[in-house]
Amino acid sequence: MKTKGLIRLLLVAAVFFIMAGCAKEPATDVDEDLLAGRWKQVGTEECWRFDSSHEGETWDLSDDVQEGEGIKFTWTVAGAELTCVMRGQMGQVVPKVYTVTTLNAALLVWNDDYGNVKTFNRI
Amino acid sequence: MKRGWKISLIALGSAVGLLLAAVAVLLYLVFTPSRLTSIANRLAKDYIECEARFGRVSLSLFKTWPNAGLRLEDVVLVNPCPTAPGSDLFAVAPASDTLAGVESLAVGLDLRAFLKDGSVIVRQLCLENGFANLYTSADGWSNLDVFARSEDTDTSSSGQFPERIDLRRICVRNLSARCCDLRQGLAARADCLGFTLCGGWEQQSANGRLRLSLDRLRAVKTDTAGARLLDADLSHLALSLRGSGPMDSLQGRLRLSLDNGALSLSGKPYITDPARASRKKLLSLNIPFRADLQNRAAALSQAVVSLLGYSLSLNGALSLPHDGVPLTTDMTYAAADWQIAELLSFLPADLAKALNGFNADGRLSLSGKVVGSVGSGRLPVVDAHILLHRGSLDLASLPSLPLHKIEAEVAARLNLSADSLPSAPSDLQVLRLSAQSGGSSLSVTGRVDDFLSARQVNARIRGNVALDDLAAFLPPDLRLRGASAVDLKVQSRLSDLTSLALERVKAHGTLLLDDLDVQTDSLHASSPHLRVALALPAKRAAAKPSSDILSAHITGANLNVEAAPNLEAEMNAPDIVVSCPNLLDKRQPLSARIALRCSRLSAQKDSLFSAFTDTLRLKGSVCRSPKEEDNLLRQWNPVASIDLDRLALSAPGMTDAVRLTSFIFDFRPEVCSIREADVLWGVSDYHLSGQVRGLQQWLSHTGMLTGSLDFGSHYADIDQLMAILSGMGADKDTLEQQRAADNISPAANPFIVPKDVDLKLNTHIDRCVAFGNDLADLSGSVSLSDGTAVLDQMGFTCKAARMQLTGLYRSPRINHLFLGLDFHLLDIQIEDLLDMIPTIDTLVPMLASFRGKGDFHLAAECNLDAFYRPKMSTLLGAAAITGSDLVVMDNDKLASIARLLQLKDWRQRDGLIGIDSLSVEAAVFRKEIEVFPFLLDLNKYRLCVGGRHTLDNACNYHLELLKCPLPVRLAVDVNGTLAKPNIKLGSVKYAELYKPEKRDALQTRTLAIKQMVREALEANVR
Repeated sequence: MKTKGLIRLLLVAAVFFIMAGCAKEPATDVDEDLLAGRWKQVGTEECWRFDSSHEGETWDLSDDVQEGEGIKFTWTVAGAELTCVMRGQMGQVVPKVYTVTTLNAALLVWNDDYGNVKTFNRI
Repeated sequence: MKRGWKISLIALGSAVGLLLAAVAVLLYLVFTPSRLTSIANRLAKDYIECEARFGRVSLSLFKTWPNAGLRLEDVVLVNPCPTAPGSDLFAVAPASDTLAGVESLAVGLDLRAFLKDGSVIVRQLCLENGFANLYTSADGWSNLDVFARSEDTDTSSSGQFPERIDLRRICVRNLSARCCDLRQGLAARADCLGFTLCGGWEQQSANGRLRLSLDRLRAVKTDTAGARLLDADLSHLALSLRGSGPMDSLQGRLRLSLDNGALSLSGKPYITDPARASRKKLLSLNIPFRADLQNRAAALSQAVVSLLGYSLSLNGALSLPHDGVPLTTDMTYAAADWQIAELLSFLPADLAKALNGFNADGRLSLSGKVVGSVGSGRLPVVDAHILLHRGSLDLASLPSLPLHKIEAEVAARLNLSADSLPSAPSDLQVLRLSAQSGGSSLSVTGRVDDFLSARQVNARIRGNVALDDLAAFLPPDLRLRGASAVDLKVQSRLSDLTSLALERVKAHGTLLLDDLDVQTDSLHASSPHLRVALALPAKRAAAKPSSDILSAHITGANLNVEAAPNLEAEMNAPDIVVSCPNLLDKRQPLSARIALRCSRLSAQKDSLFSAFTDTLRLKGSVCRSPKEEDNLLRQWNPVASIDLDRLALSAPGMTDAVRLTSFIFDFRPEVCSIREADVLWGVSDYHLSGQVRGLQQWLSHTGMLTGSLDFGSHYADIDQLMAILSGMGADKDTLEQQRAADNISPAANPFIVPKDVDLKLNTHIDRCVAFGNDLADLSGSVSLSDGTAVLDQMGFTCKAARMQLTGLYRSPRINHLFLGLDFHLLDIQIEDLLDMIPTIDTLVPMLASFRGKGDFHLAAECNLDAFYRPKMSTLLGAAAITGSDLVVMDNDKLASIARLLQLKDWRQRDGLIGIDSLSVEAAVFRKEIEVFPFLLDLNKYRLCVGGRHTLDNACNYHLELLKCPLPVRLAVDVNGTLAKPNIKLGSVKYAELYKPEKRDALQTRTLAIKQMVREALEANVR
């Protein structure tokens, strides 16, 4: 009985680890050249622009915010980790850290510490 | 008488009679006409070199009674011209081969003298029905040279006036004479000439009479080129001259009458058609005189000279020059009732041309005297007294302003002598001069001294002027109505007046204006009564040299002004002093200095605003720059100091009127200084002072409006102020275009930060309400800078805390407004903080469970739409909260968490949940609020809390027990929504967070971010 219970526990653990391993996309090193450009989130009007000078901007057209009117930031990459430091005009600093899971010429996918995934198409 | 004598005398007389009859018969029989005619014709050949014929010569007793004489009939002298004339002078005096022809010529001789000593004395000569043709050729030949030269060479008696002359009669009847002198260019013709001359001279006493009549006299004189220098055609001339008495006192009378005629000099007619058509005598003289022929002097008494019916009577003495004595006169003259219009129509064309452009009429009377001598640069002094009655003057240049009912009395003294003494210059005194035109009347009195040179005018002008009558003098776009009473005194040279050299004119007086109405394209002013005191030169302060020459002091009951478009102002008891330089001098810019004071001023513009003030004092000046037509301030360069009491300003959108209890303001184009402005607006009061620069450039959109103002208040309604300031200086068209482009509802009316403005308000407000919050001790600076409003480190206190706020607001688009806040609340009551800023509960939801004081730092920014709704995609903020000795309010969720974490005795003894310290950092990015891990000390427990939630209430928090009496590490995850959280045990992840030596990379990064956020926030705390 104990053996069966132990086996069941091991199976559950194995399934858990397998599923845990499958749930997360594998992180990928960020190619800055690929990242540079304009990206638009799939299904929304949220746009991001990464400049090769490590500056950037994000805006949402659905809010009647045009490019040039959005939030400015600086960005750095470390491996798969993309850090965007939003610097407000009032002196506030809001860093955001995203883990890039997919980056190619057409597609950008990242998730944050809370598991929220965003997918972008290059525009 | 004895009969014998009687008979003797009768017999003697009969004998004499018979003797005389016998002599007469004898003479008739001896000197028969045929014999006398033969004798005459024979003698004529001896004395007359041309052909001469006597038709009949007879003795005459009765024709020449009482003298015996000869009567010659049909006398003809023929002397043909040697050359055929070709001059047009012959149109007047045609050439003829007959020199003269006389139908009858009777000569009365002194028979006694002839019988006594053989001398021939002609007593009478009577010529009837004759004609003469005199001709002188260009080379000097004359057809009159027909008498043989006298052989008598004794000329001793020639040139001596005879001692005695006794001329019974010389008469000529019906003589026509023609004269043509080609050498002199002269031709004349006289028709039906008749004259009678009789008189005598004896013992320095004369007695004579001449009567002359002439039906027509035609005379032409030409120059060498044939042009007519003189062309006269006179009709019906009658002359009568008689005199008697000794040479030094010859009394007589000269009469002359010329009915009609024409006279041209150098081709210019001097007797006009109207003059000839008037049928008035062309010339009439009636001159009684007493002459002193020895001294060439005469005295006239009631002499009348009349030209075309206009008579001039003369009395006085006239002395002709003689023996070095110049012509001297002491003569009075008088004329009455001259009709000016008719007289002007008689003027020759040359003079009438000079009078072109005006018509005058009236009855003119003048009198005076002419005293003095003529010669060596001296002329007599002429005194004149001129009266004009019922005159009129119509100037072509002012057709709408005819003058009528002109009454004038002028006395003039004219001293034309070159060496006239300065003490006796010519002058003119206007005793009275009045005229009417339209509804106006003017009267002038005064004098013009030194009339011939300096012409110094000293006059007083009074009258009533209907301002409508001045339309001809005003620009077309200026219309005046009303009545004015003028009383003006002028001292000036006439040349300065006519040339409008006002800087050399002295004048002062008053102008009373009733029912004044002034209308221009852009201005309408009216007043029931105004008094204007004018002074030229302008009254000026001694210490202030000025170029002003004219000043006007205007006072009255009230003055209404309407300026386009629809700006109305009413001024009570205005007291205005205006001074300006010569407005007519084009070399000087148009400028004026104004001092204005009124007891009450009200103004309103359409439905935009209305203003009322009690006492207004204004001093200022304007100077016009013609090149700056587009900008009103640059064009006029106004400088003004304004001091007013109790100004009330209201507008339809304002629920409360703005009241200025005092306002002292200095305005210059480059800088405006508000020295003092105390404003009451609703429940608010404001005190304003400072300077604003660049108003001129700002209004012309060429520069910024800059300034620094001290803004104080005991209580201020900031929302009210913002509503007023919204959009100031923004281009309204641009705003409307943005509204249309973004499809913004007209209901949205956000605050638009003024453009092109760089103003700094140094505020100190005791209390105020802003966005519904009561604030106190508000101090700091508010800057409006080119579309951006900045509240720079403004400190204030509210019921909850001391605050420091730096705000940034921009309005680049009507639907894209930027709001940034750097907000620090120190020593804050947390519940008051949440009450004041409910949004903080959204940022840090668990804060609603805390009570106590803490410090709150927030820096956030967000764009807003036109309805001030945040655009969440632009929300970016960071907050930090610190506190100590706080109390956590117990609730079900907290109890569930405590139960899962196995917390025992975590409440204090009084049942409250105490927290020793709290330090929270949070960041907002769009809809995500991330609370970075922070520590909570609950009695003997220490918790670490961190996580994230979204504005749609989804949450993901983690609470982990770091310190507890038991050796276990429990953690709780709070998921789901904040309203219905799903609380369950979770895995620990903050265990090593506060152990530097054991932190992993993620934990290190978390703390670094937390530190970065806090340091950035606290860096702004003053």
